[in-house]
Amino acid sequence: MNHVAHAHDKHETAQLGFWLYLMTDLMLFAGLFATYMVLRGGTSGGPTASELFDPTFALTETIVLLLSSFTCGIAALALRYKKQSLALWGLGLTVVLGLVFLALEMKEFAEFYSEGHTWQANAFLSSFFTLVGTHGLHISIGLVWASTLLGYLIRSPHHDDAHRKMSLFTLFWHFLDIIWVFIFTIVYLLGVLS
Amino acid sequence: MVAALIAIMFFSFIVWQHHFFTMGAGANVNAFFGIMTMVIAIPTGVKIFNWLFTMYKGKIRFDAPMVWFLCFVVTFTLGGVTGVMMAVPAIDFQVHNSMFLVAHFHNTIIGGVVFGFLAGITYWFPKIFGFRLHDKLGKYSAYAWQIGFILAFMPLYALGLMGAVRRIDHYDDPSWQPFFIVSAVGVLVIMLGVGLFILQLAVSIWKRKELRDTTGDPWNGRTLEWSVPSPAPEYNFAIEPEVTHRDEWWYRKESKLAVPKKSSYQDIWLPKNSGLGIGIAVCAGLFGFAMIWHIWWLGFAAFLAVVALIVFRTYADEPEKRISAEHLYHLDKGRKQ
Repeated sequence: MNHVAHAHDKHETAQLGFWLYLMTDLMLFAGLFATYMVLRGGTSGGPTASELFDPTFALTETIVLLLSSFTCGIAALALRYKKQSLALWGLGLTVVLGLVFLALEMKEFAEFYSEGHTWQANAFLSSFFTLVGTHGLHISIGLVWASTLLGYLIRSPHHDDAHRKMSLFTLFWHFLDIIWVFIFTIVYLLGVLS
Repeated sequence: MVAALIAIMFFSFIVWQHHFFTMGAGANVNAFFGIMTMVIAIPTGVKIFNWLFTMYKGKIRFDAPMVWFLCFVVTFTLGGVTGVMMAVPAIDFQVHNSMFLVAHFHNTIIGGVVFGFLAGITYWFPKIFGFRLHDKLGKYSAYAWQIGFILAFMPLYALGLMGAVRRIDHYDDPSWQPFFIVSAVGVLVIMLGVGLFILQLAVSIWKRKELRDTTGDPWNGRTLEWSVPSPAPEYNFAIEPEVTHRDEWWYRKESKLAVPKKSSYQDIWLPKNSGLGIGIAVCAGLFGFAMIWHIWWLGFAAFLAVVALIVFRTYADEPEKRISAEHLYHLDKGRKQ
């Protein structure tokens, strides 16, 4: 097997492996969503979802995260067409937008917490913090990954592995975006409607 | 055999209450779990006959793995039979927590797990380490284990039926004494078996040059792991094997297909050796230790170290090496068949 064919083979294997990982992660989130749906009525006298959530704030978070997915896609395309600086800018913006999203989420959590709506208060809040917090944890790990990738792209932009690493990261980031769309719909929108 | 395995897998989920027959769950619950426990003996019996009929009309060589295997079948079957007895809740009320139970589960665990495990170690040892275990000492160890086992545990069945319970610090009935003495002698014989196994390991390491497996196929085996050199090379198979027969390696040897042509070899790519795995494992271990004992600074530092090592790994440019087809061909050719 020559060098190019081998690199291609490795890329395919990595893609398959990463898709398998994403599917197991999907199962994790499916479990957390199901838990939330079952427990969201269990407020134990505390505020309900419609009293607690601010849909406009959640919409801001959603827009920030969707934008980061957009810049991430730009970065991947730019790398494919060998537009080096655009790829770096795209990925850099993705990191910045991800940080903004994380800051907004932490602000929301901190507000709930300071008002006494902690994850120990009732079943509804336990399941809420677990579901949304797990997504936030994924975002944090994704940000470490994106920063590492940024460093790698600056150091060796023309390496075969750069494309593979970039395509796996975009898969991960878009996946988190989709999960957030479900969180926005099921937790925030349905919460405000009920 | 596959159907028997699947059946055992299924039934094993619905027998657990046989540990608690005397708990007071009621007659219907006990009856259900008792019957399920008895039913699981049927596919298990199928498996025992599978093993026996595999040997039937075969040319059996009594090397150490085979002796361990035979000890396994005998001991495990005895344990299974007494298990069916105890599956009857009425009998279980009599022998619950008694020496009968102790004898039963040692029959299954030692016969089913330990003997099988030792058979496996002896059989695959040359594939892992490149030299065989000393055959005679292995056989002596197996004989000592088997005889010692019968001496140590058969009296316990009788003692259990006579009323001896487990974990007693003294007993007043002198008629139990001879049984306990025989059992103690059995323990000494088992100790001898353990000693012989350790001696076997020591002697085999000492004489590893004489016991070296140069062919990769020391038992004249049937399955594909014996087609590669011993110890198994890091790339496993020089040529990815295509399986067309149940005993592929045997078929290839019989039809003289064992030596492949030079043109069928290809380059193999392997990850390079790296010390980072050990580093990550040590830091992760420290992290776990720190979290258990609430040493927050250490936990934080170890966690950061894990992340840093993983990031460092992703920056490594060529984490792979190539083994050339030429080299692989010569390695295989140089091997004595």
